[in-house]
Formats: sequence, structure tokens, C-alpha cells
Amino acid sequence: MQKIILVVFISVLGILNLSSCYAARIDGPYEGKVIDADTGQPIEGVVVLGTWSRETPTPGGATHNFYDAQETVTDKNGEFKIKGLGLLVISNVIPMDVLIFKAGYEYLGTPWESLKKSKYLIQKKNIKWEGDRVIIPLKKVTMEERKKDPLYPPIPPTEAPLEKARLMLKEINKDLVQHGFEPMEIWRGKKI
Amino acid sequence: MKKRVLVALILFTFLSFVFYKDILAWDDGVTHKDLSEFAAEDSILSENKGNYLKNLGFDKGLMQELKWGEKKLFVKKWLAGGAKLEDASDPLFPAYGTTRSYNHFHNPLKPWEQAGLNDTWTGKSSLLWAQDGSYQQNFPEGDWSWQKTRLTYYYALTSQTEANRQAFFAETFQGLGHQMHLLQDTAVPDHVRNDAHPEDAIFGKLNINIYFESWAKSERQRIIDLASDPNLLLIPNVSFNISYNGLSPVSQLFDADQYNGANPSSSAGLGLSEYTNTNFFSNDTIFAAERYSSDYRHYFPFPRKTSTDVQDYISEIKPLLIQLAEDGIEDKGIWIKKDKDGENIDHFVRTSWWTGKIYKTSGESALFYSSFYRDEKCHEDYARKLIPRAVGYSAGLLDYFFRGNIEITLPGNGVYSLIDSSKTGFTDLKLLAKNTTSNGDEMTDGSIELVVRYKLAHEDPFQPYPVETDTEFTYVVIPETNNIRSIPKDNQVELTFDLSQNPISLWATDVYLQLVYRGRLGNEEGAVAAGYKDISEPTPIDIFNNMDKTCLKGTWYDAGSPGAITAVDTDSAIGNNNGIADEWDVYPHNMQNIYIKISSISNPQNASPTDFDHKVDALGTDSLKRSMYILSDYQDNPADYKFSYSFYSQWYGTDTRDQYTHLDILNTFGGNAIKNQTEHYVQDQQECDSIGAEAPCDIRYYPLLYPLRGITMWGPAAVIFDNPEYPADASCNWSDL
Repeated sequence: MQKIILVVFISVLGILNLSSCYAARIDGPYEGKVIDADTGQPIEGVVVLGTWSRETPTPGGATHNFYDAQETVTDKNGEFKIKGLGLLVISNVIPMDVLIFKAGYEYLGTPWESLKKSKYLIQKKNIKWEGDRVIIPLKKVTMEERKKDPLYPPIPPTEAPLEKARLMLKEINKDLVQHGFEPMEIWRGKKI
Repeated sequence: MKKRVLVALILFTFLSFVFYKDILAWDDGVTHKDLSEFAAEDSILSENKGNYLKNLGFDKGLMQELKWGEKKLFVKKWLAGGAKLEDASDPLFPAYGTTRSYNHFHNPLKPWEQAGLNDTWTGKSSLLWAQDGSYQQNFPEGDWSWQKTRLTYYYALTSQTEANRQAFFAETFQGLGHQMHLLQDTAVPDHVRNDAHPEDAIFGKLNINIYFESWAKSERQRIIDLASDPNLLLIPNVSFNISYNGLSPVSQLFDADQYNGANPSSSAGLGLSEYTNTNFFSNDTIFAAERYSSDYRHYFPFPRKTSTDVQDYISEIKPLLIQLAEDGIEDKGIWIKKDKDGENIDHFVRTSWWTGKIYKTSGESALFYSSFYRDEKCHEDYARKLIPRAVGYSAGLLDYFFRGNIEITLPGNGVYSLIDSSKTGFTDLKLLAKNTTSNGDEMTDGSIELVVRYKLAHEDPFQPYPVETDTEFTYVVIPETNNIRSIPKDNQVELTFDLSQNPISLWATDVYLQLVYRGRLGNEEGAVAAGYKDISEPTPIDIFNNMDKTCLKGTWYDAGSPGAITAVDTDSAIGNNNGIADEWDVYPHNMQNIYIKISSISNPQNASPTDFDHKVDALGTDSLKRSMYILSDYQDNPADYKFSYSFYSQWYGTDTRDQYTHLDILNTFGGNAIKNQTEHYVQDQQECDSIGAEAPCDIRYYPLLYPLRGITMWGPAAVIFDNPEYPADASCNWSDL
């Protein structure tokens, strides 16, 4: 009987693998605090945008399609919480990517899991964890540093609807204006 | 038996935890986008490396926003977006026909028609896929081939509405993103060693931490740092002189047919698939030369045992290494080094816990060679070599796409166009064109079109203040009149354009020329090249007859007035006090038969009754004649002349007391034309200081017209005919008039 259960278990796992699905997982919540890298003081008003995509296995590697987004803003203590998607059953939705941005500061765009696992990232950005809560320091940046950044400005996935990423887009616009650029006017056909 | 199957299944699942944790692949949502944006910054499109986008009219370079459909994105984000979309797949049914990535493989050791994926799944070679629009039509997202992207670029350059141009440019950059994706994939060993890797997504889900993504995506920060390191960047040095089967020579970036399976190297002259194939292992092709027969689909001659120091391991002289990770945790292991046959890689593959055991039982068997694997340390070393190449070759692709360059200069007569003042617009235009394509590719047979881009002022723009203009540009697109189809690189060719159906208005501001060549460029058919020139705005050639006034000993007098006559008649040097001005011609003069000639500043020509561009029959005193208008070049420094202008004129007295003989007068000057335009995103703080703004700023330039007796003139292309001053070195203040 035990053998049968084991075989069934492995078979189910295999099928789910082949369809690139998680059997079940609870997504979120994602919590953290954003602090000024120089002063250690909490930064209020940092926009934190979480995005999810569906992952599809192909012979050429995994491909991704936008699934959902949630955003929030840090409070006066620099703290934020994104509730996540909750229970996902037989789902090919992968864990959250996060974009953390405030005008005038460096930004961070990364898979959330990299904040835990990428030793390189953790060391370079001096990321700390207090239990399940991440502490993310952000440095102020100069205009020169912004101009030299080939990836600037970081934008949400272009498939994300405006209503799911409006806070982030407005914050990016604020920064664009500070750097002499015109703000983005529209997002997916809608005025930002 | 059943027990063995069960054990095998459990082992298989366990191994999937161990070995598929870190698979080196470029993630479509992050890595391909990042690499493409870095490539743009390292390409001719960048402000620091050619600023080609300025030639397309994009003042903000890669930060120019372009609207296409419901999206309005920066140029760099269109590139990144295309790089993502090249992996488009049906999320629920990722089969052939619903998934582009089946065609993202190229084995450089195979004939190209057979070089695509052939590993359980099959697909077309990415090199061929990149240039096969009709085949791409069968897949999600459709045709994003090189050829279609080139055609879209041509449409962008020659469209006559701002909306269409923006849309086509956005589409062009998105297409280039698709193309860069394909090239970047050839920096992934799996993609050039016939190694399908759906496990990238499948086994990642079994990661003990539940989360799995490809190594490159999870190590985004490391990838960014590698991609942005200028010391690591490697720009390809492939020859674009070869075109196979009508393909664009851009294929050389993928596969330059330099590597034949026996000559491994790390040369920048290799196509990227060749470099990656010959220097790196993919998961299923580790020590392929030792494991497989040469006809097996995963056989590759290099790297091989002798490319590495694996013999030291076999001979048990390779020590256990202790690696210190960023978090300070020690990792003990034995890493095989690749130190021959091209690239050197310290952490090439790692021995597994049973490698030694297998060797002891079966020697150098296929099983022994299959027991090595690539861990995170290996991926770091692989990425350190491959990421800079992926960026550099992608930048090379952009450089190649935009290589076609045409220099536009003034023709021999010093102006692009001139008209007399009775006209309201310029009806023809001439220019000199020279092929200045950086790699020497020749423009031997193609269509040539001129695009004139300008804004229309809402009032006469010849005002000493910035006038209101349309917000959008007007575009005029005209084919070359004389059916000239080649633009030489060693000299200039004069091109003529008939604008009579769409004259350039005299009220045009912000005038720019673009020259578009479409045809054979080097060894590429159907290529598109462009030239660009910020020329002057319409500039009047003004003539003012001030000869009802005369400047005598530092004071203005009415010509012929008693005061003027007395001034010279009683002068201590020349006066004879006889009551008439027989000492100096102080009388008013009219003008007639004024011949005007515009010519090159390097070869100025004098106007004459037999050699002139325009003739003014007569001009009375206190009169301004806006004789003609020109389009030429301007310089911010008015004293830096761009053309020569000459007047041959006849004067005659209008006062019966004037008994002087009046010789014909010739005046020739150096001239400069008007700049009447807005320059966006000016980054020079000194320039922004001129308007009291912080850089970057927008500066609206307008002509500083010269005021004289109630009228204004553009001084650097005007002439004021004046009576001769007495004494000759006398000067009067024009503002006193």
C-alpha cells in the first residue's frame, strides 16, 4: 500500500512537473522595511510593486507571461506588506518579482526569492532579514548616476494594467521630471 | 524489479533537486531585457557612442518616448520589450507552433539547414529563423525577422505623419529586441549545443526551497554588474563581407563559419554561437567528446578532456579546493579547469560525490564523464565570459543595423535652396551626399529619398522673438529627381529633389533633412541607410538702401542737406568753403540693377550682370528689399561663415547737385543663416545657463534680428548700402538713425 502511495505521489509530482505547475503553495505575504542606506532611517513613501507571471517550460527554457500585480507604499516606519496571491493549487504562477522605487533613490528590481538566496545581491546591497521580514537599504542617487544607468527607468511589466501599477508609474514619473525628462503620459492606452 | 523502479524514480527526483538547481539560461522577463538595454547603451544608439538616435530626430536618445498602439515607451524599453516577446509562447499549450523558442537553437558545426534543435524536440536554426519572416508568421507574435524590421525602419523614416513615424520606429526597436534575443541565446551553451532544456522550468519547481528560477534571473544583480563592466565588454570583430544564400550578413554575428570543429579559439572574429559552442559545456554535453560517438546528437568535439586539467584529477594530483562564498560559507569541492583550446575558465565543471567512485569502478567511462556537473561557481565563471559577449554582440547587431550613414553637405553654390521673394516656399533642393558608413560598405544600387522635416510657424517667423509653431512636425518625402541610385564613399554626389508639389514654407522653423537610401549596402540587399542634417531655417537676403543718410565726422546727416554740405565744405582738411559739396559726395543715391550671387564660402564667387542668382531692378533710399530666401547651414557663432553672398550694383544720384561719377559697386561677404528651432534635452550646463535653466533643458533659438530705422534684418546675410563715410575711418552709431 505504501508503495502504491509513493508511486502515485511521484507520478503526480512528475505530471505537475511536466506541466510546470506547483502542486500547491501559499504565495505571500511579503513583508519588509526600506531604510536609507546612509542614515539607517526608515524611508516613507517608497513604492513596492510585486508582479507575478506564469511560467511555461519550453525546449528553449522557461517563458513567462504576466499574471498579476500588487503594489503598496512604505509607511512612516518604512514598512510595507504585500499580501500575495494566497493559496495556489496546481498553478504555474511563480513567486513574486519585486520592484522597489522612490524618486531620488536607487531602485531594486529582483525576484523576491533572490533577496533570500542570492548571496551576491545580499552582500552587495547589504540586505538583512528579521524573520520573514526583509530590510532593504536604498542609497540616494545623483543625477549623474541616474543618467549612467542603462536600465533607468525601471518600469513595471508592460502587460501590467495601469490600475495595478499606478503608484509605481507616478513615482517613476516624479523621478523622470526631477531628471529633466518628460513624464510618461499613458500606460496601456490610459492616462497615468 | 518493482522495487528497483521505485528506487530509480526516487533517485531521479532526488537528482533533479541536486543537478537542476542552477541552470544557466537567459530569462525572458528579466535577463534578455537587461542585456538588450545594456547593449543599446554600448551601441551606436548611445549618446556616448555615436548618438545615432539624434540622427533620427530623437533629442532624448534612448530615453525618447515613442507611441505605438496603446503603449508609449522609451526607445530602450521597446528594445527590451522585443527581447522579451521573442520567447512568446502559449502559456497553456507550449507546443511547436505555439512557441517561438523551438527555433532558438543553432549548432554552428552543422549545415545551417540542419543546425536547428534536434533533441527530442526539433526546430529551425535561430540564424535562419531570424531572417525568415514567412516562417515566423506561423508562430505567436508573427513576423519579427531582420528583413521585416529593416522594412519597418524604412517606413519609419519615410512616413509623413508623426503618429505613423513613432509607431514604425517603436516597431523597429521592438524588432531589434527580437533579433538581439536570438543572438543572446547563442551565448547560452544549451542553445548552441543542441540541448533542449525544458527542465529549466520543470525541475525548478522541485527545488527544496520551493522557489526556483533560472540562475541568471535569480542572480540578476550579478548579471547587471557583469553587463555593465566596460572592462569586460567584448565587441565582435566578425567580417560582414559574406552573404550566404541571400541572407543578410548580420548572420555572421551568429555564425561566421570560422569554427570547423577542429580549431577552437576565443577570437572575437567568431560568431557568438561558435564561441559558445567551442568553449563551454551545456548540461547534457559535458565532456561530450569523451561520452558520445561523433554521430550522436549531443557529440561536440570541443571542449574535450585535453582542453581541461581533468587528467590531474584522474591522476589524483588535483587538490580539494575550499571556496569562500559571499556569505562567508565554505564550499569544498574539486573544480576542473579549462585552460586550453580557447577560453580559460577556472571553474569549468565540478566533480560530484560519486565521480571518483565511478572512476574506480569503470575508469574513464561515459558514466564517469557524465558525473561532472556545473554548480553555481561554474555558472559564475561562465557568465563572466558569456554575459559581456552577449551584450557586445547585441551591441554589434545594433551597430550593424544602423551602420549605413550618409553625410549631407552644402552643394557648390553654398545653399540647399534659394528662391526670390515673390515665392512662398522652396520648390527644389540640392545637396551633396557622401557614403560615410563606418565599415566601408558601399551604396551601389538603391532608391534615394529626401525627407524634409519642419514645423510651421503661426506667424511670420522673421521676428526678434520666438514665434508660436505647430507642435507636430510636417514631413515632406521626395524621391531623387535624376534617378541617381548610388552614393559613393570616396567623393560626393549631387542630388536634386523637386519640391514643387510640397514646397518648404517660408514660415518653416525647426528644419531638418534626412536622406534615406534603401538598397544594396555592402553585401546586404534591402538595407536601409540614413543621413541627417540640421540645416538653417529660411533665411532672407536683405538689402537696405541707407543712402539718404551720410556719416560725416561721426555724425549722421540727411544726405544732401545743408548740414551735410557744410560739414565737408568747411572741413579743415578738404573744405574750400565755396558753399557746395565738391569735396565729397554727400548726396542721396538710389540703386538699380542689383545682381546677387550666393556661393560656397570655400570658393566665393562675385556677382556680375552675367553671373547672378537674382536681380533687383531698383531700390530707393530708406528702403528694405527682402530680395530672396535661402536654405543653407548655420553656425552658432555668426562670424563662422557658411556661405558667400555678393552684390553687384549700380548707384545713381537723385540730387541735381550731385555731379559725381558713380561706379558700379561690388560687395562680397561671408554669410551665416538663421537658426530658429527648439533643441530639447540640452545637457550642456553652459548652454542652459544662457536661459537661466538647469541642464538638461530645452532651448528655443530664434534669430537676433538687427533693428534699423524701424525695420529689422538678419544681419549675417544682409547688406546695408551706405554713402561713403568722411573721413574714411569715421563711424556713426547706427542706433542714432
